[in-house]
Amino acid sequence: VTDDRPLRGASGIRVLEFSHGLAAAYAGLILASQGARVCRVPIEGRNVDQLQAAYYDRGKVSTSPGSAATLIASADVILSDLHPADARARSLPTSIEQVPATQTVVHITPFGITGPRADYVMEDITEWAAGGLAYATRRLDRAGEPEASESSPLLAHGRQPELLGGMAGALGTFFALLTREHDPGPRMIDASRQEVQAAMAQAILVPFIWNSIVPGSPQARTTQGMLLEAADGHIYIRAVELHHWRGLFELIGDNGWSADVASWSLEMINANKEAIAPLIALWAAQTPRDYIYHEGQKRGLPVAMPRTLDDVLAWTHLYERGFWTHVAVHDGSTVRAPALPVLDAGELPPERGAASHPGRAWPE
Amino acid sequence: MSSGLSGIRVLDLGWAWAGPFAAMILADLGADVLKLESATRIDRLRLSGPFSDNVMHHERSGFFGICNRGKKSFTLNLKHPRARSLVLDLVARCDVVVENFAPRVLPSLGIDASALRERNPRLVVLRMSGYGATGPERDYVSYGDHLLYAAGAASVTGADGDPPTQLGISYGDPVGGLYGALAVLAALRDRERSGRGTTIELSQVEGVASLLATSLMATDAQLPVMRTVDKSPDMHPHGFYRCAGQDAWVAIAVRGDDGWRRFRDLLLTDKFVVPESPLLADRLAAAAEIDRVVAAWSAQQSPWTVTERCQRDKIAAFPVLTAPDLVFDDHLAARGFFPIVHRAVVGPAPVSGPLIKGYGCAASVKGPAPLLGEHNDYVFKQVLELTDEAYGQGLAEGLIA
Repeated sequence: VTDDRPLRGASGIRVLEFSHGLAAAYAGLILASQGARVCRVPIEGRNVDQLQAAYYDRGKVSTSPGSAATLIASADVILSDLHPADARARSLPTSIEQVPATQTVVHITPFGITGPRADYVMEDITEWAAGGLAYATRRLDRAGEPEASESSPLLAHGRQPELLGGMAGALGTFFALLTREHDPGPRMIDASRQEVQAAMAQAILVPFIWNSIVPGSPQARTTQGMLLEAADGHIYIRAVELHHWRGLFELIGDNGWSADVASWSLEMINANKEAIAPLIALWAAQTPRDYIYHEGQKRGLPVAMPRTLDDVLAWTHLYERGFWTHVAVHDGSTVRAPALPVLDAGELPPERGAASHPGRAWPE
Repeated sequence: MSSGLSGIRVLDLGWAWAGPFAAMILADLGADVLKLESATRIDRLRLSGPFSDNVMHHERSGFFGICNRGKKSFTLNLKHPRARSLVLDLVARCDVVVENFAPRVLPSLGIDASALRERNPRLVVLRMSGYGATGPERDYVSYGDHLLYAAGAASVTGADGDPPTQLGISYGDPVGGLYGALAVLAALRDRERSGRGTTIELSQVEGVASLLATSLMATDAQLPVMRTVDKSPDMHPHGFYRCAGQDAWVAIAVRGDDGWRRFRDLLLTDKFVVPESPLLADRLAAAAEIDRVVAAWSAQQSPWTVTERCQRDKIAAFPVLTAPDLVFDDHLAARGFFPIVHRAVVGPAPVSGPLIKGYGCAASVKGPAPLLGEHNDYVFKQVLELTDEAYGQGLAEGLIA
C-alpha cells in the first residue's frame, strides 16, 4: 500500500524464472507485481501443487523448456532456486565470471552456492532445522506432560524457509538493479535460505554471541508473554513496559489484589511475575476474550486475539484495509488470497499467466 | 566493489526490532543509516538483555548490538519544541525514513509522512506498524510474537489439541523488517524513473498472513488445512527424530519410493528392520511403526552422523541446530557469515551477516553498533551544518539529548 500510486520498481525488466519450489516462484511473483515481465521455464518434478501454482505463478508467462537456452541471452535477470548442480547442468552461471555484462543472476538455495554443504539435499523440514528456528519452536508446557524443552521441535507451517528465501532473492534483485543504474556490469546474488533464517534468529543468537561460550552450550528457550484461557477461548498478553502492566491492572479492576500491584514499580512486577500470573489467569478465565482484547487495547495493553485461518478470513480489519485479492484456481472458481504486502500494484491477473495484460508478455 | 545504496542516506526512527531490522538490512547494503535516539527515552532494545559480561547497561545489549550494526547514532529529544524543525531539515538531506511507531505517534509530534515528504518530495517513507495505518484496529499495539497469533500462524503450528503455538522468535518483527527493506528498494528503483518518492505503509500482521497465502486460499475453498506438527502428506519418514546427546535432534525427510529404498537399506545395514512399504501409501499406513524404528536408530547416533550417512545416499537430513551450533558452524564460517566486529565497551564479537551475498554489488556488515549519540558531531555539524554555537545551544537546552 502506498499513498498515491502503485510502485513499479521492476518495470522494464525481463526475468527468466527457474523455480523448482516456492523460493524463486515467490521472488518472481514479487517482481511481476512490481512490473517485471516474468517468463517461467517449466521444471520437471517441480515441487509446487495446484493451489500454490495458482497463487505464485500469477502475472507470469511460461515457455517451453527447449526455448529456455535462447531466452537466457535476452533476460535481464535470471532467477533460480535450482540445486546448484542442476543449475550448472542447465548452464546457468554460478560464478560472477560467467555472468554476461548486461545480466543479473539470482540464486536462492538452501545453503548458498558456495561452502562445504552447498550440494546437500534438503527439504522444507531440514531447512527449518538448519536455520536455528526449529530448535526454539516447541510445544507449550502442559500440566502433567514433559516440559517443552524435552518435547520434539515443531515444523513451521507453509514452507517458511522457501518464502523467506524468495523475499531475500527479490531484495537481492532490486539491490543488483539499483547498483546497475550507476555502474553497469554483471551482478550475481547468492541468497542462502539458512542464512536468511539465521539473520532473523537474532534474539536467540545473542546470548551466545556476546558472552563467552563454547560449542554445545545449552540454549534456554526465549520467554514470551502469557497465553491465557479466557472464558470463551485463548487470549495472548505480553506486557513489557510499566504502562502495559498498569493498563492490565486497570482492566482487571479492583478485585482484592490488582489495586495493590497497580502501584508497583516495573522491577517489583517483574520480580513477582510468577506470583501474579496465576491471579491474572484466574481473572481471564472468567472474562470474555473480546472484552480483554478490545478493552485491553484501549488501555495500551499489547494483547492479541489468537485467530484460526477462518477467523483471519472473517476479520473486519483486514477487509476494511483491502487486504484480500482473488485468485482463480484449477476448477475455474476464484478464492480469496492475501495481496502482497506493500508490493502489490493491483495489476496481477487473477489467473495464471499474463496473457490478459498486453505488454507484459515475454517473449512476444 | 560498488553498492546500489552507496550515497543513500537513511533516517532510522525505528524502535525495538522491526524498524531497526529493516534499517539494518539497508545499512548492510551500503546505505548511510542515521539512527535517531534519545537519552530521555532509550530504545527498548538497548535495555533488552542479555548484556555482555552480564552487566546491565545500555551499551552492553547484545540484541541492540546485532540489530544496529553499521549505523550512526545521534540523540534528539523529539518532545523539545525545536526538534520538529531539525528533523525536517534532516529529511531534506535524506533519501529514506524508516519508522515503526504506532500510527498516532509521529503525527502527534508534527512529523507525519506528509510533512516529511512536503519537505523532500524525493523522500521514501517506510511506515511500519503492527496492524497498519488504516482500518478499525490501526491503533492497536503489538510485538512481533502477538502477530503470530493475530495472523493465524499459531493456530496451524503444533498438533491437533495443542493450544495456539508460537514459532521460536517474534517472527512478525523480522518478517516485517524484511518486507519493509524490500519495499524501500523497490521504491528507490521506482524513484530512479519517476523522480518521485513515496510513502510505504506496511502492516506487519499482513506480512505474516501473506506467508500463509495458500493455506488461507484452501480455507476459503473449504479444503482441509492440517496443523503441521512435523509431518508431511507427501513423504514418510518425515519428522524430527531424537539423537544421542542432550536434547539432540535430527530432521529427516525421505522423498519418493527410491529414496525410501535407500533409507531402508541404511536402517537394514544397522540391523533395524522396518516393513518393506514400497509405496507412500504403505509408509503412511505404517507411519507409527516406521517412526518407532527410525527413532530407535537415530537415538544411537549423533545428529551429524545421521546427517552425513543420509546425505551420502542423497536423503534429506540435517541436525536441528541450536544457536551456538550456528555460531560455530563450519559451513557458515566458510561463507564468512559471522564477521567479527569491535564494539566500544563490549569488545570484539561476531554478528550474523547480511541476508544476501552480492557479487559485483557488496553486501556486508559495515561496523559495530554505535554508542548512544556517538555520531552527534557528524549529524549535527556535518550533515545539518550547525555552527558550534548552535550545537552548543542545542546541548544546553536539552534538544540534543
